[in-house]
Amino acid sequence: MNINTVFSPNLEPQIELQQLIVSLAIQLMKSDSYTISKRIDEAMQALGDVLAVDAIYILLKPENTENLKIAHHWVLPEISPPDWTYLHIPFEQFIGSDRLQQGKGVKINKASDLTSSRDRAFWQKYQGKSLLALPLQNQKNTFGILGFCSYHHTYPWPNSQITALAQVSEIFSQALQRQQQEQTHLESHRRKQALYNAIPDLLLCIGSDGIYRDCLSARNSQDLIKVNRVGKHLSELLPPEIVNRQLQYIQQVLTTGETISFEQKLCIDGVCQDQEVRMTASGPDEVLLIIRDITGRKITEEALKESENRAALAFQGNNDGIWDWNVQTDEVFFSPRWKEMLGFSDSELPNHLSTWSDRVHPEDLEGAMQAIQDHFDQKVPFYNTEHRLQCKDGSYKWILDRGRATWDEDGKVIRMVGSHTDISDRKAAEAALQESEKRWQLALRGANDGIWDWNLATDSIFFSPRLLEMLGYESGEWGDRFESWQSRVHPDDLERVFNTLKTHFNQETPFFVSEYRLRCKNGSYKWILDRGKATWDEDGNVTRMVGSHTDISDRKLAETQLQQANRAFRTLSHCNQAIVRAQNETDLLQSICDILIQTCGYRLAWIGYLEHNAAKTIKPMAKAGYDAGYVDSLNLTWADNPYGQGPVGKAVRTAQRIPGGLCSYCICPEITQDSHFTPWQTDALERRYTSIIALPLLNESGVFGVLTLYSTETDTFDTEEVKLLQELTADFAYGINALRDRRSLAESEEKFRQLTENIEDVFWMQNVENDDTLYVSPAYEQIWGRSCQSVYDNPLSYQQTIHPEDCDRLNQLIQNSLNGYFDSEYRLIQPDGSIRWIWDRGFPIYDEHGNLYRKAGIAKDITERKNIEEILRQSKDEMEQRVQQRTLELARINEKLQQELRDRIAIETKLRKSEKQYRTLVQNFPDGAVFLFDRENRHTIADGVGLTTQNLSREQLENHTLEALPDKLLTAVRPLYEAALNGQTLTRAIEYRDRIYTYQALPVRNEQGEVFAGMIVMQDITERAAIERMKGEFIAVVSHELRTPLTSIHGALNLLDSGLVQPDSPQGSRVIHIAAESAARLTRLVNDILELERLESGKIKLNPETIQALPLLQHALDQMQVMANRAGINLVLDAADCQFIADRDRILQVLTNLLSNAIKFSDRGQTVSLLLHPTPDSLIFTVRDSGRGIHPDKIDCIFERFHQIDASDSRQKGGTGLGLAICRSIVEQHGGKIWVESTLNEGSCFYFNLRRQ
Amino acid sequence: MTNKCLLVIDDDDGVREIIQISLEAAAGWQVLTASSGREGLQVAANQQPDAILLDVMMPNMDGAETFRRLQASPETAPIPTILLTAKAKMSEQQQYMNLGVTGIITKPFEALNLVNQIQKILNW
Repeated sequence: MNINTVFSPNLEPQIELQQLIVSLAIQLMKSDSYTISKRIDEAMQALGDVLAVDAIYILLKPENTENLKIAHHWVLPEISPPDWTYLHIPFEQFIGSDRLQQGKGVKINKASDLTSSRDRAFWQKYQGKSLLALPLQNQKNTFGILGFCSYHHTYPWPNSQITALAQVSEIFSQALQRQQQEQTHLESHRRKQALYNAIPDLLLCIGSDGIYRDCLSARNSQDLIKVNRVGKHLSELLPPEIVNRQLQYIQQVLTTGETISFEQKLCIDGVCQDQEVRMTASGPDEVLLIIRDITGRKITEEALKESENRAALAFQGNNDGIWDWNVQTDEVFFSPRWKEMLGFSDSELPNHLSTWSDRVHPEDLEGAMQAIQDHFDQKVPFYNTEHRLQCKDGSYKWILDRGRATWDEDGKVIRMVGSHTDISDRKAAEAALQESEKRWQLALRGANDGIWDWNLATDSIFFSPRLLEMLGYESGEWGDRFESWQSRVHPDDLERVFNTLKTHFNQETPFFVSEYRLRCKNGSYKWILDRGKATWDEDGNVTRMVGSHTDISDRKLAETQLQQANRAFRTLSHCNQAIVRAQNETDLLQSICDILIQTCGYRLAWIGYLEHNAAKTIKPMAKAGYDAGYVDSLNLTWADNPYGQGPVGKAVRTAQRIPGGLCSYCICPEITQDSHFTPWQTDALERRYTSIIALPLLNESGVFGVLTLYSTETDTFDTEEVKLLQELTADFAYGINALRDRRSLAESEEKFRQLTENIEDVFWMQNVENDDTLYVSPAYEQIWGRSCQSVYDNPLSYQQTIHPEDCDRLNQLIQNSLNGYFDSEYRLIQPDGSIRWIWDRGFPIYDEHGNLYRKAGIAKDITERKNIEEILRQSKDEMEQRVQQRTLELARINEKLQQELRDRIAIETKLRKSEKQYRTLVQNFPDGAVFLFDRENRHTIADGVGLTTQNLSREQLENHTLEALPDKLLTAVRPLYEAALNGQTLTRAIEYRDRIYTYQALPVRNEQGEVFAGMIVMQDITERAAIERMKGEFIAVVSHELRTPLTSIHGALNLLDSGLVQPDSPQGSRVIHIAAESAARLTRLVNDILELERLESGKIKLNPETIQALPLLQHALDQMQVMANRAGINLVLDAADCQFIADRDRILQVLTNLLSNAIKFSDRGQTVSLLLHPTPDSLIFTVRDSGRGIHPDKIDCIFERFHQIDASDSRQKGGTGLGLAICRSIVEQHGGKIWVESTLNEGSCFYFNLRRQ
Repeated sequence: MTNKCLLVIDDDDGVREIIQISLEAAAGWQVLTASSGREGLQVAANQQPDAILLDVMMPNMDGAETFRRLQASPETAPIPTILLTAKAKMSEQQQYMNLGVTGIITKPFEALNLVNQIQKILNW
């Protein structure tokens, strides 16, 4: 069996290619952006192997450049392509770039394929032989080229292959695009990640079920939970009260849609953290948590509080040191408390200014001095300064130094008195506060936040420059009024913000957290995250509030985008997974609907297939979502009638492909406003369906189905959404078609498998180049006793199975085989040592170009046959011996047969001769014919003279059935044919065409007595019948003529004898006379009759002699004289003498007869003449009379026997009625003729002629 | 019985005479003669004999024809007719009987025999 007879030669490589493409698609789909490149390289390698091209290239055109760059390439190792690989080519200049930009492929086999000179120049430079270039596209444009080229030979690039390779380019496009997308994604992800990382917050996604779905920020060192959260429930990781509160908040967020924030203190494994948690909904059942570690801040706040307390305390305590300075002498009195504050005892410090000035911190000295001077100059009413003083232990303390000077009349300072307050604590606190504030500000500034500080008492707000900058304002542009902020809050958010503020002021929430929009300088709105905390006095009034603005517009955008991208990505991913995993179409359709509902969030999704019936209905195949039963009631059609005017019908009718591999669509954005939707409006509105999109599913033959989605919001289907849906639909359609292809592929594979697995023979296929085994059917295991896998693994193992004696012969045969065909028998050795005979036939397999690239064949186990052959060979030897014996016998028999043959030939010859004789007999059968016919009434012989009278011929009848006879005859003779074949003898007289035939039918029997033929003998008996009839008449007449005189005689004698009449009476004499006359007549009659008979039967022999005419005539006259005299008739002779030859007595008889008649029938006194006319060769004798003549009717029969006239009249005149018949007989015996001419009442002339010689 | 008158129609003179003499001598009947059928019809019509002896084989009008004519004419129809024939075959005699004649006598015959046969046939 030749594989070419099972699959057409083109299908096989196509199947392989298709398989490759499918596996490529799957692989690439599964790869992430890092491995895509690698996969693409591998794919090109695989393609190169299958396609037999020399090189495959992928050129990409990065955005914002016009040059193509080689991104991937694969080249056959033996080939060194031209060096242009390392050049950058402007896309414009590439061959057929205009076509490629339109998304079409370019096929070049020779320079003349190229229309523009520019292209041809490129081609020459390129030195290629054959090129196929396909575009790599995304939705917008062509971003690259996939090129297949050959440097050695031209490639036909069949359309089927181009279609397949176009699929490859699509797959690559998608993969590359995805790679790019993922890169961008990754970029933005990284940026987000960087953002997240910059924000020290922790971002988590939790489902409504309390399970962590995602952790969006990078591993955070401040994250207390070190294990992987994703997939775990809150309760697994967090303390119960925290879990409950979070779950509560989650429900609240999901229900209200509001963002809430709260603080919690989380302790895990002994480590505690203060956290600020902001929770917002990020999906229908999912929340996003932003958790900030505010432990530090908390601590700072505490410290702040503490220090504030301390300061207050410090301030309130009266623990000051006193000093008194004599300005003129610079003597200073320091109170013991003053010294004690620094850690000195009273006696340790001199009472001099230097005691103070030496201990002032160098940095503060100048300031302090200046303050003193300012006061001395009366610029300030009091001396009030803060500075550091060195303590005994060397550390510095902050001192609040207050004093008042006194001046003399001249305005010269003479004395200043003051107090030192130890504000080191306060200062420390202040410093700490400043530090923390600095840190805070730094932190906030580092995070790009703006800061505000609201003094509610004065109702003035400090807006940090960054805050204003974020909104595009100059520093200070807002002033410090509350309205500056309030007026810029987005009107939709204002109420909410104030509510949140009020809540916080009422101390219902620990923090003020709100997200809202603020109007920027350019009029646009930015999303701001506003966090703040108020401080209350003892009465519970808010005195101050500090907060920060974080520009979350990017984040919001990123969040939205992320959500979107997430959703889109997840939808795409789920769908593609569903497509890849789907085992059958029904499941795939249902999966798709489910995904669209669950992941994409639509309200209702269904897929319908077009039915090509009269009503053009659309049959729902799968549905999911809210009230999916609605679909069944829809009664949709794609015909152009009222039920086909909705988005679904329209989408089907207007379906077309859009560049980029997408399909068209039809949206009904607001069903209440679309009149075409009226038939379904009521039901739809009941279910809150608001807007609908329908996308047709396309394959190569056109539209086969439609995907419809329903949403409860208007304007759901914006451009992005539609694009996503288009991509989805294109993927579904592709997936469905791939499934169908896979299924048909699977089916044909199944067929192939069933075929090869169920044949008893081994069917094998090898590569020509490397003798790799491509396929060996399962029967191999049966016949060779080894696994098929062993042959795949090691093709040469098959060689080793061959019996050593046959190995060389086989190899020789294969090598010498003409164009790949070989036919050989050899032995193989099974693993257990037993030997089997194999009959192996091989066939070549050619690829599309006619090159030999595979071999296939069938190996059949012919051991049985071989065994039989062996047995046969043995018996053959035996046979030979016997044959020899037989030969002798046969020679003898042959001799006998020859003899028999000779005998048979002799018999046949005899048979043929007798047949000829028979035929001669038949042909000469007088007046008759013989018919010999078989059981089918077919004439074997139909011959004889008699046929002619029936107007038939031998040719007409022989080999034809009796049906060949004319109808009338057929009807008459049919019973005879039947009788003969029935075994009966039958004779019939048949009249036909005025003749009478006698038919005699006889059966013909074989040796067994069976009738195998019939014979009919036919004779024309018309003459005979006539003769018979005449004879009958003659006898009738003769018997009467004989009986009549007998009657007279008998009667007469009886009368005499009986005595009734006396002999001597007159009556007696009369009677005697009558008797005597009758006796005489009777005698004459008898004589005449006998004479005539003798004449006619030829019993009387004529004695011809030479006669003199005249004497004879005279003689005749003399004989008649007496009669003539008695009748009173004249006899006249008129003749010339001549000689002739005849029987004298007979002619005399004729003459006397005629004369006698003439005399009898003449009246008295008339003349009877006897004449003779010689002619050159005959003599005419005439006897004329003038008697009563003969009636014309009787003339013809006058020479017959006993013709009526003559009979009675002659009787009267004493005749017998036979005279003329006797004359005729005699004349005709002489070869002459006798006739009469007569006129009634005038006379008759009797003529006869005789030959002279 | 002796006063019967018979008509003999026969073309042969000898036979006619013999019959005449025979019947006259043997039975004393009166015998009329006719030598042809035509003549016989005339005589029969004119003389109204008590019976007719009719020869079958005659030229021109044979016995059968003569008999038909006799039957056709009311004058001669009732006269019983006996055919004289030389044919002895039964089948032929039957043919003549089918004509409707009263009887058939074959030739040759003897005088006395003839008388007997006639008497038998005609119930004389």
